[in-house]
Amino acid sequence: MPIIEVDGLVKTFRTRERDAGLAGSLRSFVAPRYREREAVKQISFCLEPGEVLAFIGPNGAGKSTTIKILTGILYPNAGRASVLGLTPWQQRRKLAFHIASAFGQKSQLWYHLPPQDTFDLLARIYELDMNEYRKRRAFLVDVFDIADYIRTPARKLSLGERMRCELAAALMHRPSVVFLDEPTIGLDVIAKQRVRDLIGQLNIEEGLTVFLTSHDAGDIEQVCRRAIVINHGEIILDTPVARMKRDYLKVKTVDLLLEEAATTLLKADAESGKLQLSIQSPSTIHEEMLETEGITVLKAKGHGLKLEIDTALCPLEPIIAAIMQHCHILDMTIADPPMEEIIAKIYSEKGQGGSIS
Amino acid sequence: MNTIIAQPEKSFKQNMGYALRKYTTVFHVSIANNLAYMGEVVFRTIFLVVFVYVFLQLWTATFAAKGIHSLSGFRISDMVWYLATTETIALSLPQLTRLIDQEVRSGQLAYLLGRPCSYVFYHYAQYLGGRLVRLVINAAVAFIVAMLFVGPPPFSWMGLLVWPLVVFLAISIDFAVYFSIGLLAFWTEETTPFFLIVNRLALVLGGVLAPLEVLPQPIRGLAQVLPFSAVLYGPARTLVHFELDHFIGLLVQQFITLAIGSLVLFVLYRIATRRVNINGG
Repeated sequence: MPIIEVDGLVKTFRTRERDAGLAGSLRSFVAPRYREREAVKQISFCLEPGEVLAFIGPNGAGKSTTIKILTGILYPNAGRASVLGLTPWQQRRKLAFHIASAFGQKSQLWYHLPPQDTFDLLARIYELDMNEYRKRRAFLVDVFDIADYIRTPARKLSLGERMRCELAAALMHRPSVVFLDEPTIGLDVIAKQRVRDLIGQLNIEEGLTVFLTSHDAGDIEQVCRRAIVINHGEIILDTPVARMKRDYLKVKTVDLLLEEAATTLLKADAESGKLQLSIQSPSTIHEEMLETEGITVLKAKGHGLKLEIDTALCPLEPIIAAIMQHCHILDMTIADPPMEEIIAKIYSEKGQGGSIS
Repeated sequence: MNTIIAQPEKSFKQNMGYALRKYTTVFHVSIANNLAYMGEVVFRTIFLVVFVYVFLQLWTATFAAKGIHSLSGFRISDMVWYLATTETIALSLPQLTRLIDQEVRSGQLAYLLGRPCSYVFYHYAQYLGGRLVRLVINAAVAFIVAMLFVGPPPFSWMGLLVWPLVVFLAISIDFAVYFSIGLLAFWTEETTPFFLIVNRLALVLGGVLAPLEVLPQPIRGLAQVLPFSAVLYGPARTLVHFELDHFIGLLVQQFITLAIGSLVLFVLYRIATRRVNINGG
């Protein structure tokens, strides 16, 4: 039996429109105009227990609205949804005992108090047996490695430390489903990785069903097994993450800061005049040149070099190794394609002319 | 539709026990959280000291000019203790309206609405904790200041005994009023004007500066029938000049005001939660 079932869900917001300028403000005051905006348009999907779903899309796509309907905070205009067999907006209180949510941009920790006080409060709110709660807290403190700062006021924690405490707080009552809204937003690379690992670990160890929204393709690649892409309130793709990676996340942007001038690694193509990477393959005896199909030089200025690499044609590791063999890398960033690009590609492959924002 | 979850049904008594523990814990946590603001609360009492001093001078000049020793039964020392009491209550009001307004606008209420507890009672417990810390600090400072300026208080034992009850009802009325104004954020773009109007009316017609008895008619009559006097004048008058008839009248006024205020709050809340339009989705 699916743990989440959504069928033809619709949510419309009514927003007040105001023209620019003083006259517009006065007109809006005397005769207000409203505009109906469909945040979610007839979406349907199911989620099985233990699944880790990435629910992704650009800003204003309807991700958070869907989460808020599924947690019972928003009432939909039409459609049906059930979470653990309950209708969220009708049985919100009952459902709340079995689900959890964590919002990357909002905090549930008491600002001036240590996280432990929030944990104790949540134990009471969720009506936990205090002995069970203490065991659970010890487990989560250990898993999330937060023992050093559960007695530090939340305001003094770094964003990464706070987010780990937020997740521990969300999972204190052993929810069956957890809704994570942008859990890695604003975190540095190491903190992001930590949060991703922890979500993955709890999914495996406790069979936790995870419903995750994110802008970060890294979250999807590393944590989720299935992805639903939503844009303008409509589901435009529902696919396994492995396939999504193969089809849409294969192109990486590599930004390098080199010790030597970037031009030492490049040569101009005889026909087109475009710059190309021209270095020897790593660990070759016969001085073979690196195959550069799938590598595009986006920018080369001074010691900086920006490459776009299609990992389906050209794996990253040998390229990095080859560059390192040739010169010292001072700094390097590997980025996934932005969500807007992924969505544009989905539309182009489907032959639709959808817009992104 | 079948539910996946198995949850044993709880009896009414069990539910009440859990609810009591929930909101008591919120109350305790709120006290602890507000103790972090101790410095700010103590600093704000400077205003109280200045206020009491200025009015002491004003009443002294007024009494001397009129050549009287008491006004409507209030001597100068009674006036100062009355003012210290009303200021203790008035200055202990936390920024409840702003908190609710911001929770609605920022979407922070998504966290609280998604929990197995009442959004209203959670905030009530949180508000009581915060207000208690401010009340105790204000009362301590007001007591010292009034003692230094005019000597021992004119309180009766009965007044002291019933004062916590009438103050509790008064701050509960405040909660109903200012929480309801905060909920207006669901409909309006700015709740501050509503807060300012109600707050200033409460200060003027609630009898914060002087007992309603000294106000001229028809302002006195108007102030006595409006609910504002149940929050400031009533509790201060009970402490400074306890009279059984007045106390019973105050209790009736407070219960009626609280009942109407709570009704308005819950109706507003019910309508508001059906039209939640949380920012960011």
